[in-house]
Amino acid sequence: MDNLAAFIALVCLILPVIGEMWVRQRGRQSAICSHPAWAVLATTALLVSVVQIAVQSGSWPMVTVRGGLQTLALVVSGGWLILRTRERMEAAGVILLALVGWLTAASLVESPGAVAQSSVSPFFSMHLGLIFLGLGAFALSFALSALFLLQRRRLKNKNLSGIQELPALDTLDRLNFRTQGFGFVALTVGIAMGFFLAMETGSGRGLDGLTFWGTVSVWCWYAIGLQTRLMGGWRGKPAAVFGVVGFGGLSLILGLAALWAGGWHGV
Amino acid sequence: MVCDDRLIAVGISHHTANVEDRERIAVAPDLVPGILGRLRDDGFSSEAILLSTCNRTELYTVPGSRGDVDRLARFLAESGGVTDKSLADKIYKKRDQEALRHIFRVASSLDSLVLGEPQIVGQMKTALRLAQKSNAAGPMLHRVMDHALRVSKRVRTETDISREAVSVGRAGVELAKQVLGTLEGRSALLVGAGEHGKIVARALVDFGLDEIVVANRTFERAAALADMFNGSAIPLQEVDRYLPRVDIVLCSTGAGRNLISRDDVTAGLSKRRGRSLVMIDLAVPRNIDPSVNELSGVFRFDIDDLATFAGRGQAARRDAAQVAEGIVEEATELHWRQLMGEQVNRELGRIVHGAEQIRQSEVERILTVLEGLPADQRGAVEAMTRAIVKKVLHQPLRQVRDWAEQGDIGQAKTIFTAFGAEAEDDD
Repeated sequence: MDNLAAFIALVCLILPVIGEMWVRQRGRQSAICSHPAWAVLATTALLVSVVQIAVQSGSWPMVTVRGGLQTLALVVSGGWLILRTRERMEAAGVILLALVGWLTAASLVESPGAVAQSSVSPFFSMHLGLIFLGLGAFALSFALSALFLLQRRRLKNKNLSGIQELPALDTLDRLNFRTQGFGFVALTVGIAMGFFLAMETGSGRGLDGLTFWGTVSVWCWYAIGLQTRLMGGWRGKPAAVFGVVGFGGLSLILGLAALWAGGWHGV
Repeated sequence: MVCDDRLIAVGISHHTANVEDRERIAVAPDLVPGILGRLRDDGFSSEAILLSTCNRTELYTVPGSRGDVDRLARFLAESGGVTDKSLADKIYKKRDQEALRHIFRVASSLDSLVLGEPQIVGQMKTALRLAQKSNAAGPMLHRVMDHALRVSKRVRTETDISREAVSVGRAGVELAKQVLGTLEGRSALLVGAGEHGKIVARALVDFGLDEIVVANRTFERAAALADMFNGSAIPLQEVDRYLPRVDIVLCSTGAGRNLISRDDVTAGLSKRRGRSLVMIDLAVPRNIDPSVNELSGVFRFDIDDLATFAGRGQAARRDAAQVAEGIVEEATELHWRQLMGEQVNRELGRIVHGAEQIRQSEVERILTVLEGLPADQRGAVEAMTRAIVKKVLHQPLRQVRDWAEQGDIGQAKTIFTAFGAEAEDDD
């Protein structure tokens, strides 16, 4: 096992889910399975794993597919731990920790990957770091959007039992706007840095292919979403749909890139 | 046909009908005197009280010469303008002791949508006041309501039924907060001066609402209400203008129709720039078109939704309700006997009074024939006839009292009918 810490993180994410299912099947409830300590453990293990990858490669962890997936998982789980300090945000964890689990599992399937010499420059690392920060923010926005749509549906259908377990609609909408805005700024700067990097090296590598155009499409999507919100007052449901569809598209592009294009920009 | 029942309660409530059916039969306060007057004039009741709230419309009566339980149920439906038979099955009919038990349960909020809610007491007092103003509440119903309010007080003090009962007001606050997050910096428009509207508005203000605008048919009343909440008053015609500006709309009028249509809300949506709008319709019949809930960013709740939300803590109050049911049962037994005892005494008094009148007229007639009879002998005739009447009546009246004490009113009625006292109505 060359990546024990990530494996432990995955176990910390899967074990409480299996435990919860087992307990519920017996008609009981368990505070242990839903305890946030599991998420804290998983996040810590992911942090250890990411640091380990960085130390082993002598570069930023994001420059390999495995390191990139784990960094994204770390950003998302860390983001959720911050988010859950707000009232009634536990439900977002169901979506976000599932995503973290999926990213961690995918990273373990991937080979560690070799680091290209050109990828070790600090400028390149910042480019990747910002992109991953943006992606993490969009993942949080996705969870908030999904919760918004769920809560809205309950209120519209007068299904009022348990609505107080989730945050208020306007709170979800406001947080969604902030995370989308943060993600958009990070992604914009990250893309711009990548562009200048490609120009600087003179190779133009990375300015074509699925990942590049996919990322640009996602950027455009969120740009339209934020613009219509700021100028046209698109709040609530339209903003939430934008968040869900945007992240869905993003996941599809990254999945396709990992499967067919051989990693980021074909690296 | 003379009705055998002493007390009748007919009505429709959240137990038997949904809000659409309830609002079809609901009676606005200004229509109550007319309905009570018609009941009396048509001989359906000698005493009547009409209770019409968001959750129930009920008629409590001492039936008159033409009043029986089916006719009264039909009358109640027709007074709300419902002529079809679709509501017939939804109107419950309760007689005598069962009717008294029902009234006690209603007053104790054991029959309420939100178990233990406190508003029903005020609503019953208002119904009694309206009946008094219309000269429709006689001695029997006064006593019934008096007992009902006492039983309600006893239930609330001797059990935990009212403890932590989430009020409709608090439910309105929580639902608004579930959409808007916080009430700070928010504004509300209160349309009408209904009781529930005031309660929810008060709760919203207490929980941090920044601004409240009150609209009412009578501007002076709106201004008085606005003063209560440190808000401002507007005429009812200007409601449309305020819809794009406020975050919460509370409607609680007795208008009996939609005051805010889907088009009114749609027209203001573009100016809201996606801000959520919470519309709480507390009126029955409703004042806000239910289809506004389909509009984006608009969340409409009615009294049933608030009650459902408020009722979440009901499980904890169910134990208290069991104790309360015991109190109600005990009180029903006791007070029914008291009421019947009083009723029997009134009717016995009528029999004695009737017999005395007969005696006096007979003595007067005979003394006219026996003109010149000395005063002592006239006195002897008077004493003798009094003794005869007393002795003749003694046994049957004593028997009636015994039957009444045993709760056997049916047997007592036979005697009243024989003496011709039964058909008379209380004034």
